This record gives sequence, structure tokens and C-alpha cells, in this order.
Amino acid sequence: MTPDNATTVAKSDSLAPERLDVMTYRLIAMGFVLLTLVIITGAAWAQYTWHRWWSWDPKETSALVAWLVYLIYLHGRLLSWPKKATAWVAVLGALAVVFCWAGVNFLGGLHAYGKPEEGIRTAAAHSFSGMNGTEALLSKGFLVSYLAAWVVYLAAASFRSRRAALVGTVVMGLGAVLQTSAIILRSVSAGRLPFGTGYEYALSFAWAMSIVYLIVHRRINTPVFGAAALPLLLGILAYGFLLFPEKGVSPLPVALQNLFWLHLHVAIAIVSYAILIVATATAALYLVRARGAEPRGASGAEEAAE
Amino acid sequence: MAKEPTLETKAEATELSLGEWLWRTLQSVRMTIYVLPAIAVASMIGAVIPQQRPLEYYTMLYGARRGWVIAHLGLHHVYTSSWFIILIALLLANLAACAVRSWRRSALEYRGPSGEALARKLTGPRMASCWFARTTRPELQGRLVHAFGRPPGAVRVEGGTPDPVRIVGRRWSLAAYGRIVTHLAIFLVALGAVLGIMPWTSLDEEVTVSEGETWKDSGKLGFDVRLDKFRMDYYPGTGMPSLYASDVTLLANGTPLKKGTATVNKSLAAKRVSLGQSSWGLSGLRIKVTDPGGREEPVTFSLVSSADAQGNRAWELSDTPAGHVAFLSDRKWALVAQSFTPDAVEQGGKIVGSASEFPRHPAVLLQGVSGLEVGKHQFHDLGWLRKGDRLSFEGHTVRFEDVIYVSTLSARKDMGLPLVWAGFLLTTLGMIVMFYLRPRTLLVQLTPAAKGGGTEIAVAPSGRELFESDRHLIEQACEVELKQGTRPQ
Repeated sequence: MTPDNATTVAKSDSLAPERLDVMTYRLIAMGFVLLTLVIITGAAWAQYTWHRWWSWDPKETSALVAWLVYLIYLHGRLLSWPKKATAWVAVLGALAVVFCWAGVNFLGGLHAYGKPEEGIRTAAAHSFSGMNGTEALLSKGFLVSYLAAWVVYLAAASFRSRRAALVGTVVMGLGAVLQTSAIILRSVSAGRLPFGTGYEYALSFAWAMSIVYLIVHRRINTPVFGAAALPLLLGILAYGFLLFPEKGVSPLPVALQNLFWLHLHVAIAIVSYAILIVATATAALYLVRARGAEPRGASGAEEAAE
Repeated sequence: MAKEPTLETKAEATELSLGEWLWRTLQSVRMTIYVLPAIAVASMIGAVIPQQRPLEYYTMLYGARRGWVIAHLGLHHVYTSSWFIILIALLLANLAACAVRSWRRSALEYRGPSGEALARKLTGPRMASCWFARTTRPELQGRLVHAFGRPPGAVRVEGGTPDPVRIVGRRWSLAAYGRIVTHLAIFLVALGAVLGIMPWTSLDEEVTVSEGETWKDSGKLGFDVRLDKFRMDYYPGTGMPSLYASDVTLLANGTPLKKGTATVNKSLAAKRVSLGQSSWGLSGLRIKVTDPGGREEPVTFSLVSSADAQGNRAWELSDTPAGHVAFLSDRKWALVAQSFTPDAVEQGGKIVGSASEFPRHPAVLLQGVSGLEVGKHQFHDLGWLRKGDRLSFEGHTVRFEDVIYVSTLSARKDMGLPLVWAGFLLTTLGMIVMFYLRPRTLLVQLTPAAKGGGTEIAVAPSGRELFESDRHLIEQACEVELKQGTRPQ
């Protein structure tokens, strides 16, 4: 996969199925390499902290499951599976990633510190509790921006308005800037990156996804992509804001005290997850755009040439 | 319609012997595709269903019928079940076979297509590029050979007498081995994991010992472990632990071998065995009784732990007489521990419960028994006694010294660890090479132009298109302004 040798697709049509398929492959290839690094750095950290590099803990296992699903995607392409089939595998991979990120917190195990401690009503009533005034303001700002960007993208896609699509991207960019500011503010007050709690993890994950989205948006410059990807981003934020009542900076659990491994492992994880979730949006769009058609995947030889 | 050639259809089955069929099946990507989802589903089951718990636990958690199904299908120990191990073994065999196949394919890719094969492209429909330069052919040839010959490339010159000359350059040819490196690296990780669980190469032992006691080695570690003290610290102003530490003395034949501290984030190593802090608990309470004459007498009560389905722990006094009743040495009176709370919560001057499992504010509810020497027992409620506090009873002073911790240390010796790290490193390198460095061959044909003393430059790449970076390389090597020319006849 090299950028200068991609399959030639008419650049005028951002939603051409071939273009979406190639983009999905590129994103998954990159996300897969990073997911491998997530597992490797996680193993190294576990060896350091728990003196055992693999324990079949639910978090470790679900990361392995996500890795296996994407491995199936890559081998499916090698076997020239129908592209729709590989796109479905990509969607399945996203489910595995979401389970690894959030679902596994409900199963206990060594990583249970990410589990929400209160019900959704309690947490929703304290959406900004624990934050200082500036951070709460920035948080409200990026939440409103992302929500507004999604609405504008939907309108732009419905009315095929380029101007509205541009407005949507600008609002989305504004949201990313506000969220970056909130993360910087929180990092300064905590003395570390915001990777310590379930809320912070969701915040960082959503931030990484907004950045990845904006980068990919340069290649798939259409409001339909925004309309498809932003609900995923808003879902991540909803999980963080609505399920964790206390959002103040709290000390790290003993197992997370090594800042080198915490920063390295979680930073790679959020970027990897973000790329793979955005790949889901492109795969879903591919499935919508390729309705009726049944294109075969690139053969192994062609894949190698790409 | 002709079937598209794929990796699988290249080796169409004719008449195969069993061995050949097995070998082909093992090295097929299709087998990988069958095994991977099976492992993924099995792993997911293991992640969702808590593993290695007593069978009663599953009945309690899932109900009688589902608990029975889990127990009888062996879903409570997925990762040690024979069917899961068979799946992993199949995947590893598949990996190894694929690595062998990749080796052959990589060797072919390393050599790349022959100059003749590429030359046919120059006149075929897939010819990529053709330029014209004003520089002479010998000078261009020298520059291109120099540019292509630089690592990680290789170069070969064909023809030239008479013209045209053909320069075959190989770019990133060693990257063809990325796939085999990745497959073998994963195999290496698995091999390391197997070595890590083999009892004759590695050690995985849990050392559980109470404060002041010594864990006796059965010959596996090579030393005994005495827990001198277990320490828990908390973040100021919170109930969150910030440190779990076991101060231990390692003893060989009764003599101290090493003294040190094992924490969650820092293990203690001796005789190639590393001791890490794994878990903790409470095994008892330490009380000190001082009689009117100033003579001190230690008293201990025993604690037992319990846990609910969510894994929340609680500590209770042992219900055995020896566990919660302590007779003093004068045999005149006794102390009875009625209740214990590790993290006392007070309301209206009364202790009403425990805020957490952590012994931040431990308290014990005591009762005194007098009249033992005359056989007329009299019970006296002494109330709650907090850690560090004192109370008086019949001239005696009773002081709650501290809780007695029990620490679990994981003793590990993993001979497979170097293989695992090497495998992880190679996996990363192999993947980067596989996804981002494409080996390719390209042919540059230099033909003196019929007019003007320049040179026609025709390029045929092995892939479908000429890489932009290769085009830049040729342009920079030629150091001339390249102009679009005509296809050589």
C-alpha cells in the first residue's frame, strides 16, 4: 500500500465504490499495524506491572479478537473475496474494537477500572461535574460543534449543497480545535495525558477520531462521509459523558502509574481504534454505494502489485 | 467466464496423495480463513464467560440450566481446553506452512521478472513511460547504474552492443521477505508462549504468606519467602490505594539470601525468579493486652474473606472458637471479637458499616468475658475499638495494634520471554515492510536518438504503474529535463 501507487479512481467522485474500498483497505492496513503495536505494548506493560505478558484477561483477549477479525479481512482480500464480504468484515471489526474499548469494562478482570460506576441517569445529571469552568465551557463547545457539524452534513447531503458541506467541515474543525484545547488544559492540570479513567479514555478516543476523520475527509470530500462518521464520534462522546459521573482529574490506579507505558500504549490504542472506526464508516458507505453490484476483490497478485 | 487467478487456484488439485493434500491444505490461506474465526469466537467466549471459577459460581451467576451447559461444554476453561489448543496448533501449523510457501514466493519476487519479460512490456499495451533526454546514452547509463545500485537496490545491465542498453533495477527487493518475517515472528511468539508455560523450562507459582510468617518452598523456587511487612499507601484525601508493597526476606536453608521489596510495578529478582506483587488480603487482627503489672500479651483473631459474584471482597471474623475467642494466659478472662469492619463509617457516634474493602480505618467490636476461673461467665460489651485506640477492662488495657495482612506474590521464571520479545519486534518490522515497502523491478531502456545526439528513455515497471519515487530517482539520476518522447519502435 503506497500512496503514489493506488488504484486509479476518478477523483471527481469521492463516493465511487472503488475509491471507498481502497480507502477502507488503506485505513485498515494502517490501523491493523497499530493494533498489533497496541497488543505488543500492552503485553510489555503487563509484563512490567503484572509480571505476566499475557493472562487471557478480557481486555487482552478482546484486543486479540479484534486483531483476528482484521486479519480475516486482510486474508479475505488476498483470497479475492467479494468486496462486499470484506466490507462486512470491516464492520464486524469495528464492533470488536468497540467491545474491546468499552464493552469489556463490564466483564471485570484486570482492566475493570474503566467500568462506569453509576447508572446513566446519575451520570447524565452530572455531565460536567468535576471539571473546572474553562474545561466545562470548552467541552460544551466541542459537543455542540460536533452535533452541529453532523446536522449540517446531513442537510448538505440531503440538499447536495457544497457550501453547506464546507460549513459542516469548518464547524467540525472548530469542534476539533475546542476539544484539543480541552485536552491540553486537562493534561496540564493532571500532569499527564488524559488516559486515566473511562471518561478520559473516551475523550481522547473521540479526539483521535475527529483528527483522523478530518485527515480522511481530504480524500473523501463529501458530506455523506461526515454524516456517516460523526454518529460514531458522538456515540463515543456520549459513552464518556453519560456513563461516568465524575469527570474531575483523579489519581491513577496503581496498575497505571507507569506514565511511559500508559502514554505509549494508550496513545497508540486511541489512534488505532480511531482509524479502524473511520474505516468502518468508509466500509459502510461502500456497502451502501455498491448495492446491487457484486464486484470481486483484487486478486492476491493484484494486491501484491498495489 | 474464466476464473480470476488467485493464490488458491494456482495449485488446482489433480491427483494428490494424502501427504500432498495435507501439505497443500496446511499452507492454504483458505485454511487460515477457517481457523481464524474459530479462534476469535472461542476467545470471545472466554472473554465473556469468567474463566477458571468453581462450577457453583456459574450456577450462581447464570442459573442452573446455563451453568450446567457451561460446565459440560468446558466453557469455563476455554484457553486450557483441548479443542482450543488444537485450534491454536492448527493455526501454528498453517503459519509455518505459509511461511515456507512465502519463502518460495519471496525468492521469486527477490529475483523479480527477467529483463526480457519486462522488455516485452515496452512494446505491449501496458508500457508505462517514455521520455527523451539530450544527454548521451553512455553518460545516462553510468548515472542510472550508480543510482539503482545504491542500497536497498540492485542493478544489472543487459545489451548495449549494439544499442539499446537495458538497465534492470531492483528496488526494495529484500522487502519481499516481509511476509515471511511476519509469519515466522508470530510463530516465534507462540513458541515463546509455549516455553513460558512448560513446567520444565519455566515457573509460575503463587506465594501466599501472612505477615511474620514464612512460605516454605517445595523445591521449585530455590528459596523460602518470609513476609516481614505488607504496606498499603493511599492518595491523600482519597480512598484510592497508591502502593501495594511486600517487604520480604528470601531464605535459603534458613539463612537470609536477599532482603527487598516487591511492588506492583517493581518485581524482586533472585535466582532467575522474579517475585511481583499480585494480590493482598487480611488474615487477622493483632491486639495487645497489658495487665496491671505492665506485662504485655499479644492476642490475635482470624479473618476470612468472601467475595460476591461481582468480585467485591469483604472480611469477616472466623466463626471457629479459636478464630474469634482469645483466652488470656491467666485463664481468668477472655476477649471475644464480635464484628470487624475494615473501613469504618461512623454515623451519630456509631459505626454503621464499611466504606471499602481497604483497611483504612479498621475497627473491631469486642466483648469481654470474666469469671472464667470460677465457672461463672459474665459478658461485658466493650464496644468498637479502632486501630491504635485503647480501652480498659478489669484493670487491663486492650489496644488494637493493626490488621495482619496476607500477601500473594507471583513467582515467575519465563524462559520463553526472549522469544516473545524477539517475535513482537520482528512482527512489527515485518508488517511495516509488508504494508509499506513494495519490492519491484523496473527496466530502463536507453536508445540513442536518431537525431540530435540525445537519448530515448523507456521505462517498464514490474507492477501496473511506475512508482512516483522511482520516477523521481530516474529524473534525479539523469539530471536533465526529461521530455515526453515517443514509444520506441
